[in-house]
Amino acid sequence: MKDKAGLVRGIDLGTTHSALAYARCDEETQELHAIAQLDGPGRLIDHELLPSVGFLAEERDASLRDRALPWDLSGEAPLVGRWARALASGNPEKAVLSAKSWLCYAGSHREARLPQGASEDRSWTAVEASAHFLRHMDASFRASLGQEPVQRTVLTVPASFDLVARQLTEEAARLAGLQNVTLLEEPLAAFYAWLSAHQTNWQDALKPGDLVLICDIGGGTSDFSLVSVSADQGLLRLDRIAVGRHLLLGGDNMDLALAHHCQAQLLKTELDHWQFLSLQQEARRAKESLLTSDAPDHWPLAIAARGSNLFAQTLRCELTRSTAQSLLLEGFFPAVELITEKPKARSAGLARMGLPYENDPAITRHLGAFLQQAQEQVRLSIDLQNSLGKTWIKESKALMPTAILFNGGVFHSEALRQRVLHLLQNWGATRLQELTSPGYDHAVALGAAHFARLQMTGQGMRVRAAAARSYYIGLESNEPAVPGLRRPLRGLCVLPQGTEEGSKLSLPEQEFGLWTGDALSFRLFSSAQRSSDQLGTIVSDAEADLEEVTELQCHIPQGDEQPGLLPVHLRADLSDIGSLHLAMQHSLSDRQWSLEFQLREEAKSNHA
Amino acid sequence: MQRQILGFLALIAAITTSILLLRSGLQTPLVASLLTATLIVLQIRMQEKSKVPVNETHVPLQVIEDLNHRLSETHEQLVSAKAETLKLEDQLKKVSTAETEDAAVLMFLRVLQEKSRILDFALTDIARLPDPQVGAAARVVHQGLRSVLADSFAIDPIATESEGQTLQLPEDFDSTRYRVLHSSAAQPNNRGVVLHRGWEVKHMNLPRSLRQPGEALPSVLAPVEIEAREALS
Repeated sequence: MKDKAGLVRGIDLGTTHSALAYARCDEETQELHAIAQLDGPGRLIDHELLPSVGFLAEERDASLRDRALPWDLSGEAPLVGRWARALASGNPEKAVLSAKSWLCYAGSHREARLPQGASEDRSWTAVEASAHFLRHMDASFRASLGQEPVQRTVLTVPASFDLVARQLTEEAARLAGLQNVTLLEEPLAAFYAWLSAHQTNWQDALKPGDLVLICDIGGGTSDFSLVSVSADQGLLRLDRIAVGRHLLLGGDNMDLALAHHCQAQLLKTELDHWQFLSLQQEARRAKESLLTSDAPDHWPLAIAARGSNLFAQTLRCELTRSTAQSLLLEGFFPAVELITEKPKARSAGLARMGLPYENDPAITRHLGAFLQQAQEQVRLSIDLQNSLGKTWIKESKALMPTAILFNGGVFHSEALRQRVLHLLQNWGATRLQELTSPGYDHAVALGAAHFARLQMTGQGMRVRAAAARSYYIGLESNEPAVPGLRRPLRGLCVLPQGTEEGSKLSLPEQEFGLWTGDALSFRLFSSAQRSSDQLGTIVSDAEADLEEVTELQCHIPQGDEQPGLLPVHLRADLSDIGSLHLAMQHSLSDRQWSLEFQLREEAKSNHA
Repeated sequence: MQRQILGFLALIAAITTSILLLRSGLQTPLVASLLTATLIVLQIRMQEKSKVPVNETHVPLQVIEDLNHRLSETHEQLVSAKAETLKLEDQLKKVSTAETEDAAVLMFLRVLQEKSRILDFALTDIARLPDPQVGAAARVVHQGLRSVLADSFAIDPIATESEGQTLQLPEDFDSTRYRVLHSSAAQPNNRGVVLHRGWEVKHMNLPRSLRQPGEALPSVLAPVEIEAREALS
C-alpha cells in the first residue's frame, strides 16, 4: 500500500513561462496554483503563469522595500516574474531570458552567464536562473497552502533534452531546495493531462495498434513524441517509442516574424527596444485573432512611444489576414513533401555568440524528418515492430500516427491545427483522429501533477518511457597512426535505446586499463536512430555516425589504489527519474568511480 | 459580645466532639477532654486578643474610607481613559482604513497607467486632434484596459438575453441588478426590452501590497523615465 496522504506538484518550467499545478493524493483532479509575484513596485498579483524572466535589479531599479515578497520581506530575493519582465523591457542588459534554452546548448555554453557579458556578481548561470524560478514558485505555493507536506514534485523537461540538460535541471531543483523530484518529458505530461481528463473513457478513443503523435510547440521549443498503444497479456500498454531532436523554434519565433513584418511597414521610424517588444506582444494578439476561422481581414496595431504624448507619438501599422496566414502558415507550417524536403542545415561560418536557433523555421519539415527518423528506428528494431503491429508499414517512408495531440499556446489557432492534420493526411496518415487537449497552455503542468500522484499512489495508466536515445562512449582505436589518415574514433554503446528506467547495465567483457592519479576524459555520443544497437555494440566511426553530447571525466585519486594500471569495466545506471550515471567498476573488487559530465556547475547560488 | 459567642461555640463544639467520638466507638474520653481543653485555651487567647483598646480602630477605618474614596476616583479616571482610548483607536482605524483604501486606489490607478496609459490619454486635450490620432491612441488604451481587466476581474453580463430581446422579470426582482425604465407609476411593469445587459464581477484578483499603515501613500503613478544618453541639441 503506497502513501496516499499529502500533496504532490507538477511544475512546467518553460522557456518563456512557468506554471505549477498541484493535486492531493486522495483526489482525482489537479489544479493550477496562482503564483504570487511582483507586478510592479510593491504590487503583488497572483497569476497562473510566472514569466521565466529574471532581472538583476539594483536599488536604483527597484528599492528593496518595493521588492518585498510575502515570504521574504527583506526584498533581497531574486526578482523574477512579471515585474522582472517589465523592467527587462527597459533595461535588457540586466535581464535573464530563455535560461532554459541555454541548459541544452551543447558545449561549454551551458555554463554561460546570463545576461551575456555581465560580470559574475551581476549574472546568473542558466541553472541558477532556473533554480530562482523554482524557488519562487515553491515559496509562493508553500505560502498559500501552508505547512502541508509536499510528497513529490514532478518537473517537466523537453523530450529532446539530453542527459546533461536533464542533470542540470535536477541540479536547479536541488539548488532551489526541492525534494523528491522526478523529471517527466513535456509531451508525455501533456498526454497524461489528456489521460487524466479522460480517465474513464480513454480506452474508447485509443485501441491497440494506435500510435499517438504529440506535437508540442512551446514559446521557445518544439518537441515531438510518439506513444504506441498495444495489448500486453490482455492489458493495454502505452510506450513512448520516439522523441524528436531539440528544436529551438516555437511560438515566439512566429510573433517575431510578424513583428519584423510590421516594423518593415514603419520605414521612417526607428523603434526602440521597448517599442519593439510591445510590437511583438501586439503581434501575438494579432496572430491569435488572425488565425481563427472568422478572422477579420485587417488587424490594426498601435504602438505607443514611451513619452506621455500618446496622440502624436503612437505608431500605426496593420496586419492583414492574408499576410499573417502566409507568414505563419507558409513560413512555419508549409505544406511540404515528405520525402524530398529535409530541414535546411545550419549555414557555415561565424555566427554571433548566442543561442543556436533553428535555421529552418518550417516546423512541418522538422516534423517530416522526425517521422522518417521514427520509421528508421522501427525498421531496425524487432521489438518496436512487434509492439506496433499493423500500424507499421514496411514500405512507408515515414511512421504515420493514427492520433494526434496538440499542445502549446500556438495551437489555440484552429488554422494551424488543421494545417498539421491535413499535411499528415497528405503524407499518408489515412486514419487520423485529433485528441482534444484539456488546455493548450496548462496541460503540461496539470499532467505533471497527475503523474506525481500516479507515482505516489501507483494507481492509473502509465506510459513506459524507455531511453529514447542510445549513448556511446568514444574509444580510441588501436590501429597504428599513419600520417594524413584520420584514425576513426569508435563508439561503444553503453546504454541502448529502449532501456527501461531503473535499469542497471554492466559491460564486464569490455575491460579497460585505467591509470590511477590521472584525470581521464571520455567523449559521450548519442543517437536517436540506432535502435538496433545493443549494450556493447561498437560503432566504427563515432564522429561521423553519432552526435557528440559532452565530455565525461573520471578521476581516481592516487592514494586510493596501488599506482599503475587498474582493470575496470563500465557500468551504466538509468535511474527511475531518467538520469544516467556512468561509472568505472573495478573488475576485481566492488569499488567504482563515477564518470562525471564535465560541465559541472558550481553548486552555489546568489541567494542561498 | 464576641467573646460570649465564641465561648458558647467552644462549649458546644467540645460537647459535640465528645459525643461524636463516643458514637464512632472510640472509647477515649481522654481525647475528648483534651480537645475540650484545647478549645478552652483557644477561647482564652481570643479573649486576650480582644483586649486591644477599642478607640484605636478609628484610625484604620478612616484610612479605609479614604482609600475607598480614592479607589472610586481612580475607577472613574480609568473608565474615562478607556473610553478615550477606544475613541482614539476607532479614529486610528478609520484613518488607516481610509489610508489603505486610498493606497489601493492609487495602486490600481498606477496599474492602469502602466498597462493602458490611461492618464496620458485622459489628461491630454483632444479637442483639436484629428480622429486617426485619437483612434490610434485609443487602441493602445483599449488593449491595455482589456489586459488589466482580464488580470484582475472575471466580468459577465447579468442578463442572458441579448439587447433587443424581451425580458420578463419576476414580481420581486432584485432592483440592484435590474432597473426598469419608463415603467408607469400606476401600473408597474416587469416586462420589457433589454437595453443593456448589465455587468457583474464574478471573481476578483486585485493586486495587493505589503504596505504597513503609516507608510507614505504610493502617490507616484508613473516615474520619470530617462534614457541614459545625451540629449540631441
